Amino acid sequence: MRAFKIFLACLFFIVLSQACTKEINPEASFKGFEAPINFPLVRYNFSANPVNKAGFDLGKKLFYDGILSRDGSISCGSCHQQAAAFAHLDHTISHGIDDKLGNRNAPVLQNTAWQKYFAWDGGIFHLDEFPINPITNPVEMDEKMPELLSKLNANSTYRAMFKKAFNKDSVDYASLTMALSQFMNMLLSNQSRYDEYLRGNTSALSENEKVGLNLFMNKCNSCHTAPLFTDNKFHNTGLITSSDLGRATVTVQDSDLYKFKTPSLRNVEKSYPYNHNGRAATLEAVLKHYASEIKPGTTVDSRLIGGLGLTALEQQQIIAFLKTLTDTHFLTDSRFSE
Amino acid sequence: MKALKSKLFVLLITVVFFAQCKPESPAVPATQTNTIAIKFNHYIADSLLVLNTVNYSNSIEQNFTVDKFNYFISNIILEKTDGTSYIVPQDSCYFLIKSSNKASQNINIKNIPVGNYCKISFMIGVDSARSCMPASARTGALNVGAAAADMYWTWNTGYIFLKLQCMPIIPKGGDSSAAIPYVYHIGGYGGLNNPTLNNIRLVHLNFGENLNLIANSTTAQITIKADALKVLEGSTQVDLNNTPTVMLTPYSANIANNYQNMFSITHITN
Ligand code: HEC
Ligand code: HEC
Repeated sequence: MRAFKIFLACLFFIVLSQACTKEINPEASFKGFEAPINFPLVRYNFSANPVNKAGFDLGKKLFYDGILSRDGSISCGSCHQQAAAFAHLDHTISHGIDDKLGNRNAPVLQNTAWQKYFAWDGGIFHLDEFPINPITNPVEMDEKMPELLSKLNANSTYRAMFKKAFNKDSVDYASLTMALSQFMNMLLSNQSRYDEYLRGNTSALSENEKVGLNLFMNKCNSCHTAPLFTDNKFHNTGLITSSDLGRATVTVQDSDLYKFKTPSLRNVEKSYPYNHNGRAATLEAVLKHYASEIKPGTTVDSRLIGGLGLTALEQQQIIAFLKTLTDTHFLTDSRFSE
Repeated sequence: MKALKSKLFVLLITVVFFAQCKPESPAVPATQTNTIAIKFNHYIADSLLVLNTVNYSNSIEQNFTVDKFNYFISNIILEKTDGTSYIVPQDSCYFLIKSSNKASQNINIKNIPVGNYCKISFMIGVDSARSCMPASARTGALNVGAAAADMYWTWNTGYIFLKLQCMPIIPKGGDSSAAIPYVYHIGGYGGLNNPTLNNIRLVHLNFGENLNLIANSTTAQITIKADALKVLEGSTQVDLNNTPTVMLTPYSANIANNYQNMFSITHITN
């Protein structure tokens, strides 16, 4: 009788544990990429590289793994941190291998599927072509692509993961970049208070923030176009000019001198410091620049010449609005955490 | 019985129908084809290029050794004397030739229809359509994870079409650590979204004598001389000291114009 009770208990336990595993089966609960309905059409060609659980997991593992760098010390996640919307927390310019410094501020990574250009100068036209840049950059990860591929091929865990995700027997360049794109394309930010407001909850923004929103629509939205807060174009915003030629580096045209890609302003409260050179430490400094510190120059955008004429109060109101673009859900989503 | 008969009838009709659908066997016999080998020999003016150890000089008396001389050849077209031509298919028309790798200097073009050929045309570089394709369509010579790893710009997506790297010759007792290498990395396919530099160049070479490709020959070969010195000479004389580094700048178009003329036919073997 006692044996029977034990048997029953075991049976119960087995059934229960199976029920549990069924409920949390990650394959079944993984949703893949879903575009928010109020966003424009995606630019990334998902039919060539659809997001699936195996590819996403692999991309995430690669993103946080120092194996991508020459000496194992730097991962993508070292410079792209979730709490800063995947920008480099509190770094003006990027800080890579052997403590070497780059010349640009690491930008946020979010809503990449809508991006037309990558890097501040837009030199890279496809998300899949991005990873080779930091991986082989001597001041970032300083690895050689064939060497990285043989390190990954020598690692049985990675071999198995690539097999599962891409049905490839060995790791190749195309699958490596596709896996990283699957992870990055899932970094969707659309759950800020502003998004709640757009979905019809009019009390999601305070009166002050709504005034800021109006000012933003008048003064800023032509470049930082909602809902992605970028026009996917390049402008010279009259910062101090430097040796960094911006868009002209890749187009080799004088008319593109000192123009940089309009960054998205989602989560901008958390992604300081600002601009391609990271010289503006605070949003107050950025707004002051737009109000009255635009430097003259032949390629400066005509909308900005002479400044935007914002009062101190208006600057504060715009900042209050910008802070409603903070998406805490995204910044803490455990699916994306190391 | 009747039912069986009608079933058989249906079956018969189906068989006849499908038999008719079968593609007709070709009335004309398949064109006979064969392989042509193309051999690239690298020179500096009239002497065969030797990497690293041999001293060379340009026409303005600047002395140097050559470390690296690599370039892409693509989109090959072979023209017959009757005016028709054979276009090498996309899946097998990209080649990376490296002076450090003998095997890369011999390429085989297979499945060429037999006939009398008199001209070859090709592109130096990689066309914009292929340059913009996803990595999975850029394999073989174009694989940036392997063969093409050092022939790719990662900051401005695209292939480097031609690389020439030289070192100045330091006089005995001179300070070799101060030597600045001469680096010419030429690329630029014209840009995807905005027009930018287009350094794609086409080369047309007449054979002089014809190459008569027959079915059972094993020797058909086009031998081409590539004179690396012409990268730096021609319509623009490159001053190594004034322009020691050229990458994606307007000046790079001059170098592309120079090297467009670096090839010549030295031998046609039937
Ligand atoms: C050493 C710091 C560093 C590391 C490591 C690093 N990045 Fe970046 N990342 C940057 C900087 C700086 C930029 C801006 C580059 C530019 O504009 O030239 C950037 C830009 C990007 C962009 C373009 C974003 C945009 O909006 O234009 C993507 C995508 C990206 N990184 C992905 C990655 C991936 C994937 C890895 C790992 C393979 C990685 N990064 C590793 C610093 C880094
Ligand atoms: C003419 C187009 C244009 C207008 C108008 C414009 N911006 Fe910008 N903004 C840009 C560009 C381009 C950059 C990047 C500049 C750089 O780094 O060189 C930028 C950068 C920023 C940044 C830094 C973001 C980061 O992640 O580094 C903030 C914040 C910002 N803008 C806010 C605003 C606000 C607020 C307004 C309205 C008062 C505004 N912008 C108007 C084009 C514009």
